[in-house]
Amino acid sequence: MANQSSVSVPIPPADAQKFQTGCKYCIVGCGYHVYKWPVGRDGGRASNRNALGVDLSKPNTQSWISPSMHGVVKDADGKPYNVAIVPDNDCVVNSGLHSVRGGTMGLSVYREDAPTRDRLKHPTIVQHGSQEASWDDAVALVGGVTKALLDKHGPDSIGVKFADHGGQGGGYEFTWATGKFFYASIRTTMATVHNRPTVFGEPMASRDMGIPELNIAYEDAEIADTIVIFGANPYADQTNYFFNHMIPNLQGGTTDKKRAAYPGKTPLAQGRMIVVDPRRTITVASARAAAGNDNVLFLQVTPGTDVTLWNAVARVVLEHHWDDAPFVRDHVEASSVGPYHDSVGLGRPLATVLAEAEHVTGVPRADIVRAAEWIAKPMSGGHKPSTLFHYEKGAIWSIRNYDVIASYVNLAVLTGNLGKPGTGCARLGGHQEGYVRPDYPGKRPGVYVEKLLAEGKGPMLWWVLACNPVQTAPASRTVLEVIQERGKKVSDALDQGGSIDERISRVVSAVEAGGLFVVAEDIYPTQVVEHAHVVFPAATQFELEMTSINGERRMRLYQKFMDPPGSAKPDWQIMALVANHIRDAYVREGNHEMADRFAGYDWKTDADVFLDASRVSAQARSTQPATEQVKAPNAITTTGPGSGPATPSLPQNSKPTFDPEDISFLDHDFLRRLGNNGIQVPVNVTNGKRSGTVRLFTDGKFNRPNGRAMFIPAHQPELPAEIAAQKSKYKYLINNGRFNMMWQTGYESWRKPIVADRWGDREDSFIELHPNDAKALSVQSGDVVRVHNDYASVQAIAYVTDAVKPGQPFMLFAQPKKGTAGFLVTPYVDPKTNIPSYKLTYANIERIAGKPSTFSHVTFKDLEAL
Amino acid sequence: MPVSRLRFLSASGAATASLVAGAVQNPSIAEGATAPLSVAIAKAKAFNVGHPVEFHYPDSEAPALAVKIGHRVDGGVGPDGDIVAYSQLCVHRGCPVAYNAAARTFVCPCHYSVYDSERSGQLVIGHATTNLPRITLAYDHASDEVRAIGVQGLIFGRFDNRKLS
Repeated sequence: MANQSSVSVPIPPADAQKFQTGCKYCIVGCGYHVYKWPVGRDGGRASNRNALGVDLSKPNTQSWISPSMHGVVKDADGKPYNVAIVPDNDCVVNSGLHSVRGGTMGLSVYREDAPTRDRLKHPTIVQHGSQEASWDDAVALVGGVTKALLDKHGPDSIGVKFADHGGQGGGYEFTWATGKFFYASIRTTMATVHNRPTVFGEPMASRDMGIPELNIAYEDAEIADTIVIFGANPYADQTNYFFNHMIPNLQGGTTDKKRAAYPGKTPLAQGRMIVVDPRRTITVASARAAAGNDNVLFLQVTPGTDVTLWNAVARVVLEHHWDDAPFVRDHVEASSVGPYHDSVGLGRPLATVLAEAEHVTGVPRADIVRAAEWIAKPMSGGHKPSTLFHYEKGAIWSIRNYDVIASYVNLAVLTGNLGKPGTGCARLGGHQEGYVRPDYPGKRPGVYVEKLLAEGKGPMLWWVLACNPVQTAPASRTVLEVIQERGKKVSDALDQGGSIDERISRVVSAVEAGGLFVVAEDIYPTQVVEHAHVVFPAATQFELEMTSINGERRMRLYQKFMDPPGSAKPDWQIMALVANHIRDAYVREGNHEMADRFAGYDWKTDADVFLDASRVSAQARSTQPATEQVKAPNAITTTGPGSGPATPSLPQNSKPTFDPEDISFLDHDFLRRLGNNGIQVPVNVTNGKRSGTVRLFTDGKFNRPNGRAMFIPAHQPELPAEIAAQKSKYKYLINNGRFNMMWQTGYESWRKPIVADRWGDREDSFIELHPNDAKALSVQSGDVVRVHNDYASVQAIAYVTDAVKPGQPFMLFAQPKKGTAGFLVTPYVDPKTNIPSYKLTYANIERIAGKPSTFSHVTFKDLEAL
Repeated sequence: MPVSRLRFLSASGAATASLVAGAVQNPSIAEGATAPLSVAIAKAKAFNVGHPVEFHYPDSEAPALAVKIGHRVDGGVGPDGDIVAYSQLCVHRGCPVAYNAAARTFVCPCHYSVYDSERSGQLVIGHATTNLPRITLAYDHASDEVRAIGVQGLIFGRFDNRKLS
């Protein structure tokens, strides 16, 4: 427990190396400084003897290095160095704040004497268990099998599940190289993204309405009169967007910014917040503590009834003519207005609509009306409120993703809250973004590859890249079963050994007989890695130069400051090794057409990969009308080799684009000079000079062919049959979500002592239970319970709290190993989008044991109460 | 869970060595004690359940709170084994935490990190990157005096817990 009992941290000397980086984790992308210096060469307390430049004979309140921000790394030179990863006071995103995730990055670096010691270091190939192998052999085996399958069975015999984002495990360099390999070279449609059985986006309804989902600036949360948080918990999951931008507004501290944005308007003394969630989250509690109960409206909605709620709010808005009629007239597809009005019940009495909505959603009608008032009722002086609409997984992973998103975004369109300061309708986001890939060869809604695999169909080779579908797929136990059962045939073939060519032949025979060849590319031994036939160890953030954008499209360069462990390599290098191997084989065969498909992987540096992607972006942007540049995967056509000048050539004036992740006109050197504040993409060039984009739609144009946004009417969906079947047999509605200490699947969080200590050194989910349910089940906090339905039986640790409603327990999403909530989730996906209903399943609960001894020191105080 | 070893304020050999160099420019640092520093807080009978007592440890720039929780806890002192103490500085950004007597937690009013007073300052939820540093207490039956004698964990804003002035 170094971080718990440490009584000192070393002082970086004045000549410590300094680097810029961002947090590895959530979408907010807080800026950090990194100091690096040899162990034993610490600085002193005088301000001229330390790199912080402050007098350390006094408490250092502005740039303190906590024990969890410090680590010791060994570079390839074998020498130990101190590193301190400290929040950047001058970064406009976080202003020196850190979350528990980013503030513990010192514990996340690879070191031989810490829990990160099990980073993947060298390639392995199965032969009676995983055996360390040379890169040459691993590349030859994977490249050989890939080529053989491509030649014999076509592109769709090769499948991939891969991350598609920025931050750790991603970055534009990552998405470009992996996308180029699978979409432009292999040309497979058997591709799905890290958390869903499609490669298409999560809010496709918003995109269809002409509203790409990353359209706001974080400053908008300082200017808004009302902030709506739908299905999200920003205290825990977008921490410093919440604390550095939302909370100051709720406390009345941003009035100057409001006056500057709207000179004629009298702002409210304090901003207001509406939170819509089935669970009373700590976002509700902390917003109330900061702003007072009167400025926070909490709608504790029944899961799966969101469409009814938002349609009812819209109905109230229309009743009182609080809609923005001029905006709708001038900027919205006229033919979509009538159907939308019908869908929200404009032809029916308001009282009837509200009574039904209260019954369906569980939200009192007075609160529905108040929500409509806060969103759209003119304030004193007659000005409409500026309302900022946010949403995330509670909306995205409800039932019928497409309709839920549409019902919410419709409200932003109806009230004209787009394209102006303090407005917008945007995802809050999970991870950072960084998408640039060639065209996906398939069609919407994509291919549900995991389902095909479970049915014994689908690809014969499955490459799992920087993600873990055992923890993040619908009915995810089946993924584990598939890679175990179908993978065994290939393991048996590889156990026989032989030359690489012999092994390629055996693997091909095995997959033709129903086996599945599993290739894993990752940084830690996940459940997929444990069962993979070939494993490629990847480098990750801190170990390479990478680029990433945050939730306001702020693009930064995160510098390399340490070497990866063993012979681990950046993912783009791994893709290039395999692609070049395949290209060489086609050249030897004289098959120039196929050799050309695998050309263009001659990058030497991370910067080369970025420039390749940036150049292709710029080409696409110069030749396509802006309205056709829908955010990938439909956006970009790849070109040939990525050789060329080290910096992009700039046009005198650029064409506009709606792609919120566009990286035209950028390169690593330029971004390095911009530091931790970076630039908000897309970048435009005017008279040869580059400038960023603060927010989208400022010119009133939306991403549809005629520039108009459109309503998409949505109707309350029925409970899908798969979920209804569980409901008919099992008592509890099981919701799930995140906890602020835990990042995604926990791959790194569990290796941080402060996290492991908090959860009793057991990689379990907790399950929040209402006291009434706990009493009925004779369960106390800390007890081990079994949660089971038709899909699986998992263990979880009980956490009793009235933050959840009776009958609606809440589990931790994506957590191993005894309690993966995803095991309990049905295989249902929205047929329009292939997005799962992770948030809604049913199960029974039984107590199976008392509190484990490792929990004797663990707190079970409320996670949502202050 | 390995129980955190009690760490006293005594400077280690290594720290003492670096202190010599630092002492030239920062004479106050030379005050850094080489023996455990013991500071009287109050008589145990002066504590009321749920009402924290402010004190400073190890120096005047390190505010701390001692509180009588109301039932015996690990590391608690006094006749009822229920008096505990923590640094008052939230280890997120250094704001002074407040004691929530109903929940027996320390809550930071700046960004709402929550620490459990009954579980060695464990972070319940929040942004801090360590638990709340605990002040080790000693109790003398004869005098009924509660004294601070050490710190577990690093106090916010410091590179070590030596006395500043």
